[in-house]
Parts: sequence; C-alpha cells; structure tokens
Amino acid sequence: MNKHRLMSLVEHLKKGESEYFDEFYDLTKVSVYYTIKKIINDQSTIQDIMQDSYIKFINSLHKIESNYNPFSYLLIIARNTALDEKKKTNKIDYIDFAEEFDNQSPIGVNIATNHSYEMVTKFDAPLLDYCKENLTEEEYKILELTVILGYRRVEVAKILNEPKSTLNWKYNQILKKVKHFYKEVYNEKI
Amino acid sequence: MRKYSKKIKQEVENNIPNLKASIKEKIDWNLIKQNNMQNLQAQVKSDNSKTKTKTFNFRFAFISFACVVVLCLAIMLPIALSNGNSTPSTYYVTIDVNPSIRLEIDKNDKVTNQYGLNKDGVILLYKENLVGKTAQEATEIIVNKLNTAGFLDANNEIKLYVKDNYGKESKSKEKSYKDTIQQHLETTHKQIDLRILEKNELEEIENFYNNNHISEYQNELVNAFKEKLIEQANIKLQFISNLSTMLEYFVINEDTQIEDFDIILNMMLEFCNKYYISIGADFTTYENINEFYQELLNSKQDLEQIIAGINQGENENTYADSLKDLFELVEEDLYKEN
Repeated sequence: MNKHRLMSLVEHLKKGESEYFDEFYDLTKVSVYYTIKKIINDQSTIQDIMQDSYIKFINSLHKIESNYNPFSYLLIIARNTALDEKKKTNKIDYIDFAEEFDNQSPIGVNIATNHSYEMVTKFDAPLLDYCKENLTEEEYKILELTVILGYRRVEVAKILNEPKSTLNWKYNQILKKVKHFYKEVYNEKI
Repeated sequence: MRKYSKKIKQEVENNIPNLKASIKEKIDWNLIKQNNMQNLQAQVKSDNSKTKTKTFNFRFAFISFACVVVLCLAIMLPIALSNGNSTPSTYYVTIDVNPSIRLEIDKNDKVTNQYGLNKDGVILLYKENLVGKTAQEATEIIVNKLNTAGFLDANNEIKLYVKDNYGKESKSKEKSYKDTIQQHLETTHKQIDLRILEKNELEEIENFYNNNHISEYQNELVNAFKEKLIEQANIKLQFISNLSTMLEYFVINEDTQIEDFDIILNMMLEFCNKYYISIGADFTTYENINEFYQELLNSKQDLEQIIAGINQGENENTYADSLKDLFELVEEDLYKEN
C-alpha cells in the first residue's frame, strides 16, 4: 500500500476533487471489504456498510490532519460501522425472523438456520475457503495479512511479533500448501 | 508461487462491488471543499498567533554538501511550421532536480513518457510509473519522492521552468505548477525557496543528458538487474543441486548411513544461513532431513520457473512494473528478507 499516494489522494479529495476518488477506492477497497467481511457475512450488508464507510470517511476528511494516515482512519470507520450493524442485526434478528415467518415472507425464511439475511450473492472464493479449512489459524492469518491485505512480510513479522526469518519461512510453507490446494480446488472443478 | 497468491487476491477482488459511482453521487463535494477551506482558515489564524520556529527533518544517506535542487518544466517539441496560432501536440517536460527527470506531456496535460536526465534521475524514477497521470499529479509525486529520499531541506532551492514546443516560456503553467509545489511543500512542513530556472541552467542540463547517453542507462539498469538476478538464482540452484544429491540416498532409505554427515549438516546450515531460512527443525532425524530435502526440490522448481520467466520477458510490462516485479522476486523468492 503506497501510503504517500493515499495521502496525496486524500489532499485532493479534501478540495472536493471527486475525480480522485476512483483511484482511492481501488487502492483501499480490498482492505475495507475484508475488514467488514470479518464481522459481517452477508454480501448485501457488506456492500451497504462499505458504501456508508466511504461516505462517512469523505464527510469527515476535514478532521484528518495532513500527517495522519488516512487509511487507518478509513479502516477504523469500516470496522466500527460493521460492528454497529452487527449489534443492530443481533438485536432485531429474533423479531424480524418471527414476523417474516408469520407473514410467510416471500424471501423464504429458513427456520432451522435463520438465514433470512443471506438471500443474496454469496462470497465466492473457493481457493480461499479451502485455505481457511486446511490451514492452521496462524497460517491463515499470515495469508490474510500478506496476500489479501497486502502487508509486507516485514510488517507482518512486527504485527505478529515474530522474527522476520521465521515469518518468511512460514510464509513460504503456506504458499507451498496453497499451490497444492490450488490444484485440488481447480482440478476438481474441471 | 506468486501465481497462487495472485489467484487468491483475484478471488477476493471479484467479490468486491464497484461502488465508486454510487458513493460519489451521495457526497456533496462542494461541502467537502468548503469544510476543508474553513478548516485551513482556522489553522492559519491559529498558526499566526504562535511564534514560528523552524524544525526540519534531515534525512540523508549520501549528500555531504548542500545541493541545489532545481525543478524546471521545459516544454519542447520538434520544430514545425507554425503560423503562430497552432497549439503544440506534445510537450517535453524537463524536471531537473539533482537528480534530473524529464516528463513528456500531451495537450491534455497528461504524462506520456518519463525518463531520468542523469543517472540519479533514472534511479529516482525506479518503480514509479507516472504515465497517464496529470502533470500536476506527477509533480506532486516527484516532490514526494525527493522529500522521502532526503533531497529537500532548508539548504536547497527548487527551480521551476516551463516552456512550450516553440521554445517560449509559459508563465501561466509555471505559476500553476509553482502553486502545486508550494502547496505540497506546506504539507511536508518544509521551508524551501522556489524560483524560476535560468535558461542557461536548462541548457546545461540538456547538454549533459545528450552528451552522456543517459537515455540508454535506464534500459541498461533493468537488464543489469535481471542478469544479476539470474546469476544469483543460478548460484542458489547449484547449491540446492549439490545438497539434494548428497541427501538423496539417505532419504530413499531411512537406514542408509550417511558418511561424513557433519560435512553435509554444515552445508545445510550454511544454506539456511545464506538464504535466511529459519531452522525450526533438528537436522539429525530422518523425518526432518526428508522434509528439508523435499523443500529443496520445491525451491529448485520455483527458481527454474523464475529464471524461465525472466528470460521470456514474463515480467515485462512498463519500465516501472518491470522493476517492481524484479524487486519482488529478490525479496520473496531469492533472498527472502534481510
């Protein structure tokens, strides 16, 4: 993640130059999406939260000082918005669920699993899902931080409080596993 | 290996909605601008009431004396018949900073090409792709890079010059880029003088570029880097080959006695040391040696693919992308981290 480029883009956005938003979105969307996804499963809700997060972020740009990392701020907003939504959803789940069932809602409430909010396109990432099932928790975390969120291994080593050489070794072991997983996942599909 | 990690990233990206348009629609950009202006005005008032003290961040690697930093935008075109009313189609933007850089700008103010005017300029542009960006954006990025590299400090001067393809100085563009640089310097809290370059200074820079074949240096750097990378990969391959040959008989049959095991063990430790591999295992057990052997074979395969990829020009996109890919290969596949 090019921190300087992000800060430069934010300076443009502060001036109301909306044409710079596209690049800003492209640079940050994976991290924002993934941050929200760790809290919320439903794709449709994730989309809404993503949108709300970016809007909140832009609307509070004037509060961000020039030397502050805007990316961290955006992720904090995304995470908090997702948590708020999660709290709301957990509270009203039972009520809406009961109403929907009584009214025989066309959305097809599943009584057994209470998946009334998941009638949207599912997250489709077969290789990633396979990795989640077959890697250890630590390995998966390293995979997330490096491959998906784009942290450099030096940074991940600091986050996990591990020596760089150890982290590198683990990372390479993980990628070797991913290589095998890839063949299993995509060969099966063929 | 990068193919598989890229696949994972691609899977995630495919699920991410494109919300750019809907987000932009919902924002009142004029209000954003107003809020920012009010904030700036409030800051200015607050700053004026304080005593200003200069503080500087000095970050230098090699500069032992004050260097003059010259920023000049020179726009040159091939000489063409002109009735005085036609507008240029291509602008050659020369940014001479010690390092020195040139940008080519089209009539829409977009960068179409970039290159260093001296070797330091070529190096400064490493991994940076400015093509497609506006001249203002490119200027900002370059000033950022100069700042990061420690070339901007109180002893320096930034010189700015703009001319069009007819050799005529463009004062309006100079003012525009000067404002951009000034704004950017304010965000870096640098107190640096900004003035217009003298014409003779520009000529000196251009003569240096032409007389020293700097244009070829850029390609030379990338090719030299590739060759070095291949050389190091081959060294590693040879090491792997030697080690795996020695271990091969042992791993086939657990009961096989290895003669001079100490020598082989030292080689294994040397390999791990040299390539920054964490030794998380005891190399005296069959299982661990076997695992190490299998990893050697995997590494061998990866390296062979990398070498083949470089030779086939697999990593060649733009100049900036080529270098970025090569740097990644060094960090991730050859020497890990150091």
